[in-house]
Amino acid sequence: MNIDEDRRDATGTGGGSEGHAAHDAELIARFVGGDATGRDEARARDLVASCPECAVLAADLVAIARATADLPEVPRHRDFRITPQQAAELHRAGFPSRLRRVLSGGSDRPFVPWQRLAGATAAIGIVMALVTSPVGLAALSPGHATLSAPGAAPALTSQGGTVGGAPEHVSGAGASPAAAAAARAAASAAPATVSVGSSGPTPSGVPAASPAGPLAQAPVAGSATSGPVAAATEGPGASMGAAGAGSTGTAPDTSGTSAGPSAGAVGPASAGAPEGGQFGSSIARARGPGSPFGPWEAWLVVAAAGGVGFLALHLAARRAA
Amino acid sequence: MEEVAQPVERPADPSRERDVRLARRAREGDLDAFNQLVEIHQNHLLALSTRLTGDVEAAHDAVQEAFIRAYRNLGAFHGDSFRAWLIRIAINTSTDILRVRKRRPSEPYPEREDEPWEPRDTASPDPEREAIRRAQSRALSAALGELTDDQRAAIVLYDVEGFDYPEIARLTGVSLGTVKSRIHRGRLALRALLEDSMELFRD
Repeated sequence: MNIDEDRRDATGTGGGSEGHAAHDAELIARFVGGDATGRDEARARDLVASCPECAVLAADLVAIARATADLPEVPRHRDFRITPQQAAELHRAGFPSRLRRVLSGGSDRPFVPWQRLAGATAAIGIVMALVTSPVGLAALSPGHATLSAPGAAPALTSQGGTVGGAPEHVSGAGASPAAAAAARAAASAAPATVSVGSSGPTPSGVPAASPAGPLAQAPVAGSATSGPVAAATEGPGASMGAAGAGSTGTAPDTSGTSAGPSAGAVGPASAGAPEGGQFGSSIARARGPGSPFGPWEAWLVVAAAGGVGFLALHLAARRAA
Repeated sequence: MEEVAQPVERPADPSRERDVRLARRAREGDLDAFNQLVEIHQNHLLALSTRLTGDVEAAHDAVQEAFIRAYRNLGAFHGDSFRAWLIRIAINTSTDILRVRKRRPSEPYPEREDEPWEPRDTASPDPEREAIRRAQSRALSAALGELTDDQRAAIVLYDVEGFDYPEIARLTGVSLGTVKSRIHRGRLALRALLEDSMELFRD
């Protein structure tokens, strides 16, 4: 619709010269508002000067605008100031409402059911992402908690079995003294690894540290690397490796020949699993042997699910708003 | 006619920096600063809201809600005009209230005899002029109530609040041309509505 049609719609008149009824009232209104320029302004001036009714119209419009601007103040009978109590309540309600506004794309409108579903998906994803994060796994792991510094080589040493972060790992019977020494050196040279845990009566000294799952498979120098020993790593306090005194890379004895009950086992994280550290072990335990996902991939998938859910919720809310 | 109608002049707002300073303090937790902003803006916000809703009680509710929303969302204020930001919130709350009232119409337009937005009883030096002013106010308020919501908002923002076209376009989320059209058509509609009482407005 062009502007001439607009004018006709607004005024019921078109341009013309058959008296005031045919004059463009909106042109007069635009002129009064200071919005008529060029030819329009000239036409409006001409109309106001030549048509008394147009002149009255212009004067009336100015008078109405002035009267509107001069409308008296409205008597206020409420105090709109916010009291400290109200402020405290608003602050208490602040975080959820802010989160809600973020989720709802700035809208205050209530969520529709399918938005609730998207919200639930997002919440599940976020919780799963948190639970499967390294911190969450450390907190949930029974009997131990080990946090490795980022980039720390998985070097943990235990009595009776040592697996260093170095490429050469020595464990179990049959490990030569030289290999044990190398492991000791490797373990002590490994970057900081904090181990908190206890070693249960884990069979040790058995040849190899082989946690469940291929990801935790440690390269072992010496004798057997897998087999029934795997069970030894599953006990409480065993999997994270720190045995006995909970030492970190300072095992007093790495001969691996003492098949005593006190010997620590080599946990998955300490078993040189290159990805995910101890966190990988929990994932590895949780998943089946044929799972295509490694621990980090699994975590990323869960995090992505949460992110997609959150995004879906946000977009849905914006659309609804 | 010799005198050609001149465009209406509107005063500028010189207090933006003060508002921004107060808003910054309020965002840092200074409740007194926020309440100073409330005191500065509450009257004109109430006038705006009353003219938008056509109901004083509803306007009070809308302004209350506007200040609460403003307080909650102080962190979202990043502009240079706190007043414009506040007015945008008040327009939204007033529109929400209007929407609710349209869904659930409770009472017709308030009694004109008890029109609460009349001037306070003050000892006027010219009782006749004061009576005319009151009559003008009543007639104009009633006519404003008959406009479409969009036209009314545009006229109130332009003539009462003193915003210019670009500001109104930003506040209402429409184009400049639409703002102008609403104002001009709204004024023409007001004139048609006030046809019987136009003598009150003429000098």
